[in-house]
Amino acid sequence: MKIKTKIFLTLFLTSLIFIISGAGVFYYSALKDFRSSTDDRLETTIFSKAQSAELFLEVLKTRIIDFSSDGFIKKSLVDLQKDKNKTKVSQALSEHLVLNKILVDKNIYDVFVLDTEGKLVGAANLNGRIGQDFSQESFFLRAKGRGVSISPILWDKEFNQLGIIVSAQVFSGEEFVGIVVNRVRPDNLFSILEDRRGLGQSGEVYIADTQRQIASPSRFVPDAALEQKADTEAVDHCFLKHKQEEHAKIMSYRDYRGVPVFGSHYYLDEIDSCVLLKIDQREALIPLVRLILIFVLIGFLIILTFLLISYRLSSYIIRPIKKLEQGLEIIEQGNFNYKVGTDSKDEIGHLSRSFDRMARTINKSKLEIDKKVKEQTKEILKRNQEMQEQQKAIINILEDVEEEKVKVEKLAADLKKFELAVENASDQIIITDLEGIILYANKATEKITGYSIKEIIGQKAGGPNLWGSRMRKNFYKKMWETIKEEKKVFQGEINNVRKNGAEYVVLANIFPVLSNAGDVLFFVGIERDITKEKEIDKAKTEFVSLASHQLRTPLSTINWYAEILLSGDAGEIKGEQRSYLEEIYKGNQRMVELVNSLLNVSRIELGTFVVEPKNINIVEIAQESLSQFAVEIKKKKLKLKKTVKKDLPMVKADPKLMRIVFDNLLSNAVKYNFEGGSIGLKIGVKNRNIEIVVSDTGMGIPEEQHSSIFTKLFRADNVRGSNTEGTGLGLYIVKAIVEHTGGKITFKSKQNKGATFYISIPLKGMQKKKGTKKLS
Amino acid sequence: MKKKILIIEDEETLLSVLSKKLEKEGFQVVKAKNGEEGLSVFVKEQPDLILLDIIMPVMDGMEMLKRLRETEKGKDVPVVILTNLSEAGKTAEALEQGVFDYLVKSDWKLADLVEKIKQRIKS
Repeated sequence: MKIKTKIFLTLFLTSLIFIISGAGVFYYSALKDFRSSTDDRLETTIFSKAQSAELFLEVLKTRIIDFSSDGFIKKSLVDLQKDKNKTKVSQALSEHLVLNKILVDKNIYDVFVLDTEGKLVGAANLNGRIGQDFSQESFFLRAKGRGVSISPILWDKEFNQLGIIVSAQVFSGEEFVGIVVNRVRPDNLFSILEDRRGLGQSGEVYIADTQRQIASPSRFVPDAALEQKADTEAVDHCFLKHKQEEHAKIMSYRDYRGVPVFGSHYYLDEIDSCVLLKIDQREALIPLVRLILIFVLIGFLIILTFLLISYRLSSYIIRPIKKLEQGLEIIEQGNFNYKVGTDSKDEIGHLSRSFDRMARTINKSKLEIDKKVKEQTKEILKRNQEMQEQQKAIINILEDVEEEKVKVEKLAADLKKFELAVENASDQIIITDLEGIILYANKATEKITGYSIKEIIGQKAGGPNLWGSRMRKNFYKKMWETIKEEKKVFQGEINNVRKNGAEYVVLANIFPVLSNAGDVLFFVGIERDITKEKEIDKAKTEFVSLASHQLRTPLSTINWYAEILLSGDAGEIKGEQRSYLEEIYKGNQRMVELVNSLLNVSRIELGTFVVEPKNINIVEIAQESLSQFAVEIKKKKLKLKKTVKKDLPMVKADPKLMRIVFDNLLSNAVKYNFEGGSIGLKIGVKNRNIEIVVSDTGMGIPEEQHSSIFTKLFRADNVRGSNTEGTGLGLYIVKAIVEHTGGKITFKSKQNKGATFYISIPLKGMQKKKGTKKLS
Repeated sequence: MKKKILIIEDEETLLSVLSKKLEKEGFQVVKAKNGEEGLSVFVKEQPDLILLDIIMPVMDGMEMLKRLRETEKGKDVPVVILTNLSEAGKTAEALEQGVFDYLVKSDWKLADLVEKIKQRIKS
């Protein structure tokens, strides 16, 4: 909204408010004043009218009393009482009345006298009616009762006009002798009432009787007297409340015409009638209305004036602002040097000068800003370039990262494979921290141990809460040493117990995982439940044991009985008997050998043979073995060549097993040799190995059969045909033993050209092997 | 005085050939067919050496040996195990119980066996 409008509206509304409130106040007070003045006027008027009416009545009363004390009348009445010349007296009375009384007031239109019984005894106008009985007339009765009586305004039927009948008692001395009556025209009263000065156009005063009839002329209704009903609130109020002295109350009501009026009333006690004064409200209010109209007009003019003033005023105020506005527009265009400032001393002047200052400042700042902006733009361009370069670099990195991501994903996939592999492996795999607390256990762990993963994680591996602690303390001590201090793999069979209490055996591989620096990160334990295998092995072993035991028993029997026979303890044995017995004995020996060899083979197969390495002197063992063939060598005339290095170091080996090796090799060298042949035995050291060479010049091994020579029960064709005995197990056993020490066995041989066997055994020798059986 | 040898062996044939040989060599021989019998015979006869088989009914050799070593008199008597069972476990067990030898029957000639006995019985 414009300021002009604002100013205008402010002034307008302010003036309007004032005018309206002023009007309101004025109207209210005016109305009150007016009413009260109207009321006063009415009150004054009614009182004056009433007073006049009462005065009139008083005059009537006075007159009648005056008449009642008329001597002639008195005497007449007395005379009449005496009954003397009634007619004459009456006549004289009537004459008197005509001549003297009726002329007193022109309004009296009849005077007459009644005797004590109400009979007419004299009248001014009713001569002919002398003797008429008026005893029932109220004017007679009332006068008799009260002394004086005035009637309300009534229609006098006798004379056919409105009249008031006034009557009074006549006394002669103390004696009641009669009633004198005046019939009076109410003209004077009417004049009073009809004096309508100060009552405007609609004001009137009238009298109403108890029948609510108008008893006087009305301004509005012609001939209303005793014709028009005035059954109004005011009339009611007058007649009903006059006892409470409510007379002269100003009322607002509808008159007998139905028109709203202001009115007052007065009760005339004498004639039991009411004087009513009223004026039309419309007429009464006219001055007020007029006043209001004037006021409205004035108000209107005031508003107009205000409008004009405000218009001019606002224009005046606005002008400098408008100027300022224009100036600012120019500045806005960019002309900062334009001056809007005026010299005026008011606030707008100040403002305009401030604007100028501001404009100058802005101009200055603008120039500075421009400069700065130029600088900044340069900077920004530079930065932008840098950013672009950086962006390139980032993109490169992102590419690298993508590559890596792909690698990692692949790795993760591989890892997942490994994870799955580990998780689903049939062997128990657990991972523990440095203290042996289990961090991870695969599914197989649950299956094998019977404990749930939940029960396992966080517990000590192999601890008493879980499946371990069944072995000797030393065992566990050794294990920890191996994996923690020596940081090496620990392998071994461990006896554990499942959750349900069942014992079982595992083949355990426990090893540390090391960081690049060589520190232990964690331990991994892989255990395979070999309980079943063990049981099977046990069964097999037991079977083999038992079988061999069962086989040996009859063999021992044959042996010893043959021996005893051969020794001659059971009697002399001659020639053929001896040789046959010897055959039996020899054959039996072969059986024994076979059984022993089979037993060894089965033990080798089952892996149940025991290895007890000791630091031994190989040469000694070789010697011991050799000695048992001394007789044979002599018999076959074999040449023995021994080449044994002096001061051979001790080898860690099981003496019994080494003995078996030598036994077999030397036995073969002797057995398959030709008569007069030679045997070579060389024992030396080379490259940290003991080198043993056993050679002979015997039947040798055919080339086609080289590959089979180490197999079980294999005997080459050439020896089979010969007269030699052999189980075909010897070389198999030797190979097994040699290889068990970590050594090697090879040979060179041609048929009939002998055989040379080369054995090398590492100096560190055999590993101790726990088994259940010894090879024999 | 003749040395008394107690042979505890369940195989009749072996038992008889052994006792024949030993008697021939000048020993007195008493026999038992199983570990239980062996114990009672030992108590009765007080032999100087026992030849003990392992696999026997009623009470086997190892059991008998254990019980023997618990007795006052059986503590120190020389025992030679004579069996066809070549189990390393059994050997160890036997040695624990203080036997002098663990001989596999089928590997030993009677003559060598006798030598062994003579050796053992002296000490």
